[in-house]
Amino acid sequence: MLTVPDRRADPRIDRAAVRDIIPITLAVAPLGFVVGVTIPALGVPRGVGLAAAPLLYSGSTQLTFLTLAASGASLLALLGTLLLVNARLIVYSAAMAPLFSEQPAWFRLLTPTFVVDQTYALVIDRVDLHEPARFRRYWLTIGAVLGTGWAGAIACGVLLGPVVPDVVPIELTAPALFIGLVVPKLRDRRSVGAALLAAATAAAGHGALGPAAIPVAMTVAITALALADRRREPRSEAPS
Amino acid sequence: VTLVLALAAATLITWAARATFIALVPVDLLPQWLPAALATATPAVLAALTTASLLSLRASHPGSLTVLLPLLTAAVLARLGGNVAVVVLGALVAGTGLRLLGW
Repeated sequence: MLTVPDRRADPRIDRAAVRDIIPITLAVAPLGFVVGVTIPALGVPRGVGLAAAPLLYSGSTQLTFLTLAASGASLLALLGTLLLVNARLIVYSAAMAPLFSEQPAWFRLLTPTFVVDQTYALVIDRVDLHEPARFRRYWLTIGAVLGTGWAGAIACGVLLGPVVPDVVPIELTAPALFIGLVVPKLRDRRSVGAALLAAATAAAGHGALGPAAIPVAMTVAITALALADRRREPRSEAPS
Repeated sequence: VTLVLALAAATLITWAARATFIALVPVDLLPQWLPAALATATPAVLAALTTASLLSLRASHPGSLTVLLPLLTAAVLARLGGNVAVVVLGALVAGTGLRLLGW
């Protein structure tokens, strides 16, 4: 007897992922628009600026690249700065490694491109993504939707940037987006304490370290969390 | 050609940062306590990013209520459980309104 595969049980596009990523895509669109406006303003060829959207897949990285490339910075200075700007992504890769450990090689090689602040925040606390096929569908869906929206917003910025009135404070987009992501995560004393420690460290180091203050702040807070966990762990009983 | 080369190098270094412990270096090399701490570090990570973006904004708009009030609006909306798009839209609407009022 033939059985008809239940497409609803194994959809290629994860509907929950679409529901989760659409609000975030809408929220980052103004930031993408700003990046798009910046491309011709800096004198960077539009083709290179637009190609950077799917290749770099990150607003901060793309803005850094465009700014330094336009200012004629050396390749070494460009790569060193990008390494600092992206240092937090190394932290994310360590945190997300368990989700990728049982995935096929193509997936582990190609899809880390989708690791950004927003996708990391979406998946890291989820308990329903440990099944490899489920995570694969979810990750590919959020990556594709966010990437398409991001590239589209940048293209709109390139084309429509000159007609947006100055009265719209587009520069508020990035901080408002991060506020929208962090506030719901502050659920208990542990999360509030870690967030305050990271914020204070980032603020203290911002002047001297610039973008490097971000990974330093993350490292300080994560170390403090780990030390707190180790102190809280019950000691094993000594043999009598 | 130089710009295209720079973009290729930037792509490679950005990918390498993302793939470090996913495809390049076994995460087992890290001490056992670290992945557990990382898994619960999201609020700290996001707080560091929020602070950096706020400080960058403060440099260009020192002490401006047209920045502070929209971001407070964003925080309130986020606390009330608004989704991220609503939070950002709320901040943009508040900021636009304040500017139209001449603040």
